[in-house]
Amino acid sequence: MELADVLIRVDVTKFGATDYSNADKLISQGYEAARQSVSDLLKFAIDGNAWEEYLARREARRIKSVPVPSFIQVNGTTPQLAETIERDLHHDEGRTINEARLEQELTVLTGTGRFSSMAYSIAEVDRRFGLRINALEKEYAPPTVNPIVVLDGSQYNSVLFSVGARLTFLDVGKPGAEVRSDILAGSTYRISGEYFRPLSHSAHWFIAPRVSVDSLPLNLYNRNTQLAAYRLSQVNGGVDLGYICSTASASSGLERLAGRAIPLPSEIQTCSRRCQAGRVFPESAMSSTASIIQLCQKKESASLVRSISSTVDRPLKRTFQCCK
Amino acid sequence: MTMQFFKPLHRLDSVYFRASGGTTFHVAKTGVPPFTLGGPLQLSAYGTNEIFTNQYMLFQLGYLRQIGQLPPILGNKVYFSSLYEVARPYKTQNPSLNGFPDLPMDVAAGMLVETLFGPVYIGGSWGDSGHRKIFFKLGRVF
Repeated sequence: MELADVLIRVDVTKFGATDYSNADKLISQGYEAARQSVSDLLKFAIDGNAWEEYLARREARRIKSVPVPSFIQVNGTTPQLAETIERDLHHDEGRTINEARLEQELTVLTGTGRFSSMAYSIAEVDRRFGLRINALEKEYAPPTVNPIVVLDGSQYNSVLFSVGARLTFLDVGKPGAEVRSDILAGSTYRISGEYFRPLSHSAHWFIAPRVSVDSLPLNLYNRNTQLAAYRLSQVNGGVDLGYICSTASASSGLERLAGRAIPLPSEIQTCSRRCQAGRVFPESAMSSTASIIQLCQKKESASLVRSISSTVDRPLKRTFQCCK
Repeated sequence: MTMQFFKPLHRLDSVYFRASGGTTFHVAKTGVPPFTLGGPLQLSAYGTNEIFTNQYMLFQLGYLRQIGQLPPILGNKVYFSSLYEVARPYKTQNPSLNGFPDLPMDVAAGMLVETLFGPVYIGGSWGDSGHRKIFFKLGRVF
């Protein structure tokens, strides 16, 4: 502070850390404080001619035209990933840079979780101009750990709560490939893993084998009335074969498939068609419960029991009167 | 199989269409019928897992409008959400579906808030045959 030429103190004691909506009042407060220090600030005032000269010098330094890039160069990441990004951005070669589109593409790349920032500039190599992308990778990731909190109040009289974490590894076996594993405990118990692997250089086609072990609540309702509470235990395995319609990079394929929790109008929209070729292997046959329920269905009013057929175990609660 | 398409209408408005369906190809011995309808974003007005089926189609048409913004320390955007849903659960080899309309449908409306802990969805839904429900959810929405 002692090195400052002028020190302007602004009274912000009336504002808190969450007063983002009071930005206008804060700005006004700053102007008012500057007004009170006008005598100190006027010592640095310059005349109109000096100001015009300064503006002219600044304008002279401004770049008036941007050369058309003839190549794309990516720095700051592995050669494989740099090549992938260069391939994804190749449509900018030989064209005037579309800043809005390029910034959106870089925002999407940053959003894949690997980079903390991405910037671009014009590079000159051998008298050729090109687009240079400077990527700054995160020091602490990948792998990434994301906490999961699930609160399901679909039925307000039986709220389900689970917590867990998602562990994501990138570039496993191939650039653009990804391993995602989830662990969940609470109302739902789950351990699952999926391996996403692009099939081609374009990263549009992919294969994603997966496996999971679940113990899920299977609560049956008729309107808001709970008829029964069961747990469904199962081991699932499957393979997804698919095509990603819109892609901005080869990294973080699963993230792009999953999309955002809330779609934003400004985001690049992604779509996917996943052709599932999986099977479900019930952990146990659980046929005895099915036969009990079928028996109950015959004896009870049809309106009470609307749907359930088999392979449910460990009934926790029933409302079939004949089964009590 | 699920397909969804989001279309921004304006800086604050989006519409989306979602179609999903599944079938066991008339295989009856699947244990519990593998597909259920009922609950948020799969016939919201119906009770959770109220409809079991071996084959179904579900179509949803929704509208999102950003109506606010939380302080960055608490979360992000606040949306108004509305949704129309119509399903076609097939009664193939599933007599327990007797009593349901052939095309159960509902409308839902609510608030979607991006919070620090994930998206929170609070809403209500009104459906046919007297189905109606209020619900809330923290976790993945779409």
